[in-house]
Amino acid sequence: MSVIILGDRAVGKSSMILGLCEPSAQEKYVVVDPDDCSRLKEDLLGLDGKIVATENPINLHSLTIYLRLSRPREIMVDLIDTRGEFWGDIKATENPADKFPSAYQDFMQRISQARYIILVLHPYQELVRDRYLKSESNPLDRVNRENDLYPREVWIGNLKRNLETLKNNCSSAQHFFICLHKADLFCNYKEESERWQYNPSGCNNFGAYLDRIYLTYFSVAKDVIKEFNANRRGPSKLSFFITTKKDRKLLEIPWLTLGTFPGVGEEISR
Amino acid sequence: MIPKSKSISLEMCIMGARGSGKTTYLASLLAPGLKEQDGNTIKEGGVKIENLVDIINNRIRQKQTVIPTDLSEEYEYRFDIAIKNTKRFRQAGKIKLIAKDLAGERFDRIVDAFINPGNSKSPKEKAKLEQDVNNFLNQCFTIKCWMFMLTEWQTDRDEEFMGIFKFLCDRIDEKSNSQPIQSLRVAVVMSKCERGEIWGGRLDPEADLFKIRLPKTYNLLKDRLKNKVNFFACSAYGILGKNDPRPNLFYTEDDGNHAEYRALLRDYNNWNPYGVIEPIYWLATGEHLHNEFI
Repeated sequence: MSVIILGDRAVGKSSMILGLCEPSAQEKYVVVDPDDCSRLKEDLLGLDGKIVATENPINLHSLTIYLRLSRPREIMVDLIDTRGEFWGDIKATENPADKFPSAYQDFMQRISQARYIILVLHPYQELVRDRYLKSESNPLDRVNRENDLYPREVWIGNLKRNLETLKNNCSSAQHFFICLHKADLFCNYKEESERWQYNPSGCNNFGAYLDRIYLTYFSVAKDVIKEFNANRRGPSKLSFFITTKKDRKLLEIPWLTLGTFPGVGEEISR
Repeated sequence: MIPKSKSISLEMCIMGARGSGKTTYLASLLAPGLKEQDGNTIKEGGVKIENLVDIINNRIRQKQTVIPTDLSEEYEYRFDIAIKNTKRFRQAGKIKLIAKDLAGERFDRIVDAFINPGNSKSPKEKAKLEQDVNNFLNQCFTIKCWMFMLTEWQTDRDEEFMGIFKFLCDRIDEKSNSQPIQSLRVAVVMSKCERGEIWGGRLDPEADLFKIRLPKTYNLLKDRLKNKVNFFACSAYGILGKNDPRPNLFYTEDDGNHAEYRALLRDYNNWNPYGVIEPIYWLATGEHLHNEFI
């Protein structure tokens, strides 16, 4: 079974996984295999500890992730880290199919076979609050609103294009998990994380979380999402999340939701 | 007459279009309300039962939709169903059920292969699909109890359903000499009957749902299968209470999907499925179970 993580350049695909690798004082419900963690860090981080932009057109990292659900599961994740423009960054000038023909073909084949796909998105400019931009203490992480983020209309167009690509090329995919990353820029992520954190005693209302995220952050793209879902038989294949590498609980939710799909991964003994 | 102490074994397969509620129906057999009703007991078993328990705990209970059953995940679930109030009716008290949950895609594949083939496939693909569907049907023909789940009662679907059942009746006729087919029983179940438009039809589903809503399908089945077929109405989610006929479900935000696929169980602790045991009982015994709820 493969899970693929996609998204524009510098959107935070690698940081999403590295965030899960970080040591944490909190109970971990999504655990990346420790050996895989250190290997990933060596591959992704430069000497200064900063994430190095992915150079090769495709970098494949195989990981094992344990989901500590009521019945624990172990999932094999092929983290296919692509150069952002590969996935069709609007700012890219060259068509990836021309620039890296064989890698592109390989990539298309992989996404066509993936069972689950995680799509990572930046927030749009209008969503970001000034106070969150300014209060950031980590200068390495500073996001420039105008240079790094799309205005709302462009963002919606980009989502539309992304969803069309998924619809047309991912015939084996059972579900798409859309993560609005860098949640620390647009909401009080600590409050959200307290509210929605996984409760191992089993009283989770993922449905309410998914509805809220859809309504609050994605309703600007309602038409695009409705168009994607229209005329389908069966439940929607899209779920929406907010994530930030600063908060483990929010980062875990998409993976724990993935774990609620029947037949995901292998059951492991307690 | 069936001795009430006798336990009857029933092996059935459950078939129907995508999203008709087959997996949810089987999950509803484990609903808390059903387990506690009048001392009836339902015990679950089988190697894959954990899958069904997961669907309840991880999806239904956490207010998420039930995911379509994949062709590679058509599992067999076992249930021991003990029915308490059978004494008055001299009915069987215990059913050992083995239920095979089939993917809705099976239904589509029958249509694609034989009923509405279209021109998009190469002859090779077509032959492969036909072969595959035939293999599947041959497996079904080793099972003598079938449950068909329908959810669309709109009259415009009548023609389509009739086409599929006509095809299946033809296959049944071809196999009429085989042992399982001679004792075949087919339960046709209208699911999701908590919906206001059809809730009233549940009391006599044959007359008030099938005969009126789907007359062509109904007449065909009655004519071809005679007493081998019977009609039922069920609601896996049920209603909120005896005096509260509101469906025990709510709808998630409109995301462009059909409302049917956005309906989720509202109150887990108040989960009382309606009419889910009756078709099983008839398949096992050929007799009708008295429904205490009416």
